[in-house]
Amino acid sequence: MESSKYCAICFGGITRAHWTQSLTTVLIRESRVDIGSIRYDQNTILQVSRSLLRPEEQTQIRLIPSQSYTPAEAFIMHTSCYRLVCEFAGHEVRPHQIYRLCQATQPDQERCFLNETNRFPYMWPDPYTILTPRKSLSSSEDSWLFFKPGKAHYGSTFLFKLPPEIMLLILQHLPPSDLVRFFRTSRQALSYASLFCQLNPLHFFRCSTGATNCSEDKQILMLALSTWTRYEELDLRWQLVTKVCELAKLLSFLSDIGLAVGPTPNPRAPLLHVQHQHGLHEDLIEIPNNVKNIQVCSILLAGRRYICGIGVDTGESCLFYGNKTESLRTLDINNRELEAIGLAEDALGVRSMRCGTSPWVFGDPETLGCWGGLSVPQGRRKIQIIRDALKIRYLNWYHETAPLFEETLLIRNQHPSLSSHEFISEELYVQRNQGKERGLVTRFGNFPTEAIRFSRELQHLTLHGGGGLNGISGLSIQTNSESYCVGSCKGASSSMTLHTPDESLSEIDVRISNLYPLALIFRTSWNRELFVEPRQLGEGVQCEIKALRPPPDHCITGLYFRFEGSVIVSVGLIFALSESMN
Amino acid sequence: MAASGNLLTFVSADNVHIEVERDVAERSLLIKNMLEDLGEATEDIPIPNVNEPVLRKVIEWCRHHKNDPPASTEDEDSRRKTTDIDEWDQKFTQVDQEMLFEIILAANYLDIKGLLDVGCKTVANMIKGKSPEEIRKTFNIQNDFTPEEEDQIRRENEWAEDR
Repeated sequence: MESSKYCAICFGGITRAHWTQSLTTVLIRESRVDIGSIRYDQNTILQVSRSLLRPEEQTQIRLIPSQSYTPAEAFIMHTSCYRLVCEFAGHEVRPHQIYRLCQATQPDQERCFLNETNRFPYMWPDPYTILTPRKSLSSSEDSWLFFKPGKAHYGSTFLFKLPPEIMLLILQHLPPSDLVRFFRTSRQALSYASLFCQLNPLHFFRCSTGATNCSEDKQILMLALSTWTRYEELDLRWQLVTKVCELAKLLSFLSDIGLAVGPTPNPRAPLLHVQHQHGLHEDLIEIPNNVKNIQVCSILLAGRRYICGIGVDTGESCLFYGNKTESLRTLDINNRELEAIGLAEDALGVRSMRCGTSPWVFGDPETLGCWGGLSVPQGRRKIQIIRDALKIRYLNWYHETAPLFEETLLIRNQHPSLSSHEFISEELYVQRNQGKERGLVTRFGNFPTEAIRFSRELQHLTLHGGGGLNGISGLSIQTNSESYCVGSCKGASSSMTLHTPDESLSEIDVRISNLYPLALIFRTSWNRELFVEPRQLGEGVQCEIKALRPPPDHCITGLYFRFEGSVIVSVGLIFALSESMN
Repeated sequence: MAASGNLLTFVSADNVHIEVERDVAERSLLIKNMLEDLGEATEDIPIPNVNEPVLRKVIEWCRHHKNDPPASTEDEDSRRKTTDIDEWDQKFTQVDQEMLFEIILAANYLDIKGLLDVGCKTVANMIKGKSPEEIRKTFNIQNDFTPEEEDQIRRENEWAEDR
């Protein structure tokens, strides 16, 4: 069995810190969910998970360190993180709940969403243990002098004239390290520590001097923390504890979920199935002719909003699929023909949507900083959704035929098909490995690409690569209004300044070879070229050059790319009518 | 001057009459609830705790944000975790400290959550990343710990560094 080498709760890894090596596992064993434990052994490839429910049972787990691996059948958690989830939940957490929580929080790594990994980079103190100084002022006989009311000075600061409830509103925006520094400024500042800690227990979670009977415990703690050389680590601990607390709150959505009958959609490929009942859940939502509106609910996960439920309201009845929350928006489709659905997605699921030209329910893809996609109705009045226990991972008009080319692409920085004047075309798209992209469409319905736009005059263009034949890792542009970079803009580079407004980008030649990454040659209307990779490959190496040119009377307004790892593996043209750009 | 049609008249603490559109005024929950209770405002609305310059700033903020969607409880929780402030609000809060704190107090009194949030975040950002001495300088806070007490804090606190 395989699992990611990262904690499914905090996404932190296994480090030298002792506590990160004590792991709890949750996995599918003979069609049931089992909880186990691992004491990490760095000298072995296969770690042994011992079942907590049936101690005689063991499972061998290979921990995959790759960032592009999405775990689906087994998850590991730092035992401290797991204990925190159980503590914050406030009730017994059943194995299938923790399994479904882990499943729902896993970003899809298989499709290579760029820059979407959010891991804890450093070591931080064990969030579950009590952090206490070896010695503090609480043991000092005259510590009370520090808090003697008569000694507090207001000075002439406006800050302390604010009522305490507003002071607390200000302080709750600060991380622990800044709070410690603030509390250390004066007696008056320090006097807010106790009330703050009482109202915001997560900032200094399980931090104490141990003087539980002392009303000044938190004030003494702040003075003690100000002498700790590592108190900046408290910020990471606070972030982690907050994150776990938020996840634990979501367990309430998982308590009453009935198990689906297998096979169920595969979390690693939602359009395929796995032969057990612990996969994702699929619904086909019939849109009746008398539909009045569609209700869309969202849930907050890791600070981002995701669509978690859809309801079809006919005025007489409302059928709801998924989780219903307070955050509800309505798409009014009364008496309207079925229209294309616009989608905002990222590696965790669907974040927003719209029908035709209606407003986006939870923000547009550009504002949300995620990928835009679309789904076009093809006769059947059914929406297909595939969801994990918390939110919707896949949403499209249901059709039995292959999707249109535009539907197979998620494009960051505005999907051209969601605008009225830009176009993309399958003929003007080149990929190094067609089979790989076809596979992604079969498994996920679409894949993410990055776009770069120069609808305003392109003035400067730079290609970045690893040198030699290592492919192109990034591209940066300067237009007359902004500069923009996609991918990694480090390493060897080659650039060109265009003589605007007379000179413009007219063509891109793409070198395709089975052995080497794609190479791009940019050509301008003055027949000048820009490339970073050698144009020709060695003797005997087969390659093909494909020219990407916009149709007559059209001009190039942008490019879109798919990345694999850090290298561009496909490129397409975005174009518009020349006259519309004047 | 009394209210006419869609216009209301606020009277500041220093007795200045300021006209304001009803939808702008209703960014204040205090005013909104009051108008709902009264039905129609026929008289001037006194704002006794807020003087004219501050009230004008508050109205400026409400006018800019009059079309903002209402925030859910979840959104407010999430907003609390960040100190990001949008560009317009950043410029809006570039005022002297006294004015900033007056705006915060007015937002609290008038129950304008968004403005109160922006004000508190601005102050939090003034604290962020600074040493205790820099925070003291920024807010003119007097350090009332004596050198002996400073020494005692350093001497009597001890941590075990167990990595």
